Amino acid sequence: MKINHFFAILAVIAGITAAFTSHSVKNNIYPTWKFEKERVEGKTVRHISAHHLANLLYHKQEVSLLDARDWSDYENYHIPTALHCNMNPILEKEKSSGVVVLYGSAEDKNIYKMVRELPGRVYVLKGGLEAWDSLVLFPDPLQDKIRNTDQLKYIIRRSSFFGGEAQNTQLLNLNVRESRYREGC
Amino acid sequence: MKTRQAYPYWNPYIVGVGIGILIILSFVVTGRGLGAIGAFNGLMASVVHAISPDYALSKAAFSNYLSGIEHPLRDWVVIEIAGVCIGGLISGLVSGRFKFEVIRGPGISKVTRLIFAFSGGLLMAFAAKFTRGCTSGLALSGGSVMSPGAWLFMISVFIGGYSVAYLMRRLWN
Amino acid sequence: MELAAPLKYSMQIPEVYLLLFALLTGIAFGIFLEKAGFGNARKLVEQFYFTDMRMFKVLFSAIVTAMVGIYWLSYLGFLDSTQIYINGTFIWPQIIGGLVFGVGFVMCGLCPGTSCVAVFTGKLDALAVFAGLFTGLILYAEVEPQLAGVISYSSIGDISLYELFNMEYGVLTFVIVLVALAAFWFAGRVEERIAKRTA
Repeated sequence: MKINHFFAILAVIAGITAAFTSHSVKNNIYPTWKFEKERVEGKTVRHISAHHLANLLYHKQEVSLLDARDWSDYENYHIPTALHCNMNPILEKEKSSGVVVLYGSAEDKNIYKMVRELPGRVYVLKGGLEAWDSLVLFPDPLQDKIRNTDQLKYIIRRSSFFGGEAQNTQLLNLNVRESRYREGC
Repeated sequence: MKTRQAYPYWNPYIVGVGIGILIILSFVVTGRGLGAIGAFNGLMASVVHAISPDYALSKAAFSNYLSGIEHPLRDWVVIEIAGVCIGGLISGLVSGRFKFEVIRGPGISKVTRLIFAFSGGLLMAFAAKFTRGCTSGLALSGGSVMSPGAWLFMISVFIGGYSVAYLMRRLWN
Repeated sequence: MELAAPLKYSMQIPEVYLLLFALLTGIAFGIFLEKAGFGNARKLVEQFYFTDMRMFKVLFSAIVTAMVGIYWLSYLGFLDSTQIYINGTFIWPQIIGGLVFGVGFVMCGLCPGTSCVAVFTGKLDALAVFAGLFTGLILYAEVEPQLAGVISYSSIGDISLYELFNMEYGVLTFVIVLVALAAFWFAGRVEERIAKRTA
């Protein structure tokens, strides 16, 4: 029975250290995180990832989007269904159902001040509009770790839904499927 | 000829850890785990194609294995099953467990056992096409990469087995 | 750091060496299966009569070992976990297929992999299982056009369990390790209980 106990102890040690070392944002898997709390300038801020925002909009969930940039930038391009923060109707709605997201450009620090002034729970788009461009509108599957063709097709579909286009699709060589069609093993 | 006393079986946990290390190696080198029923599919497709090519190409289940430039037998899972056969033969000879016999319960005849074996194989092949894998390909390799289907399959196999074990007790005990 | 595994892609190994590796892996797999006693159908089926829980022990210890190994290799950056093959999930076909597979398993006592080991250690009933497997495949090929929609029903893609449960990869690994160890202890107790009853 000695070797059984040895295996069991080894498995428990490996398992405990596995539980403490895993972090899905730092693991090299496709980003699936949705919301994250971070401390910025001493106050906690809630972030939403660009992928999750795009998924919510793609599946027509209730999202209230606020653009925190200048009016000219807003007119140039804004995320579909977003309202500029100068427009009052959103700010007056006391209880809006669904997710409320505030976004600006990536280096904008004023956003965090603005978030505190808004009522209710407001999320900030992590990475700003630059993240929206690089992850949703013009995704580069060679950079992101796409696992399979289903995910890839969804990314391409989603980017054209928002009016963008996926990059580098002709260079892709997804290795997870065998060259001959066979399902299973 | 003196028949050698058969060696005792190994500790199941040691065998399990050994198979687990094999699966890790297989993923590291080829990116896939093990497999078993795929070899039967490829073998069947090539045999049917040799007998009657038109029939083989008209059925989707066979033509999937015949499409492509490579021969259906030139496939990792077919070579692996060939290795399993060789390994079983080596181990059986070395351990003194090679013997021509029909494994059955004491109260049942050989013919009944063979009939049940045949129909059991039929059911298993049918089910394996639905689940896209058998225990070594789906449960072992899929379970170790945490595929939900693999875990569902494993749980269902145990439920299905335990539920008919009482009915089949005469076959084994 | 450049991820090194799967070596097939990072080292561009020619196909011949991959087939050679498959052969060696198969030989080792066959030796392990035979040494565990799975060349004998009774040893496998005794699992379902609680006398000898070998099949469960071998299966789960292999899964746990491989799972922990793959987690650690991918955490250390050696294995690229996005390039390995994850079996697709088809919920209802796999549940129903699993039940039917379990019934067939108790009827014949061998799974497709162990039936090869059994045939090559001389067991004649395994030849009947072979014949049954081949006939089943031909039967499926005949029936398949009618089943075209059913077989791909309720597919949820190539996801992993931790994505489904929204857990961390390592935490789920630990949970499964604990569940497996508890199950092994329990299986040992059941074996002792049954042995005492029949002794």
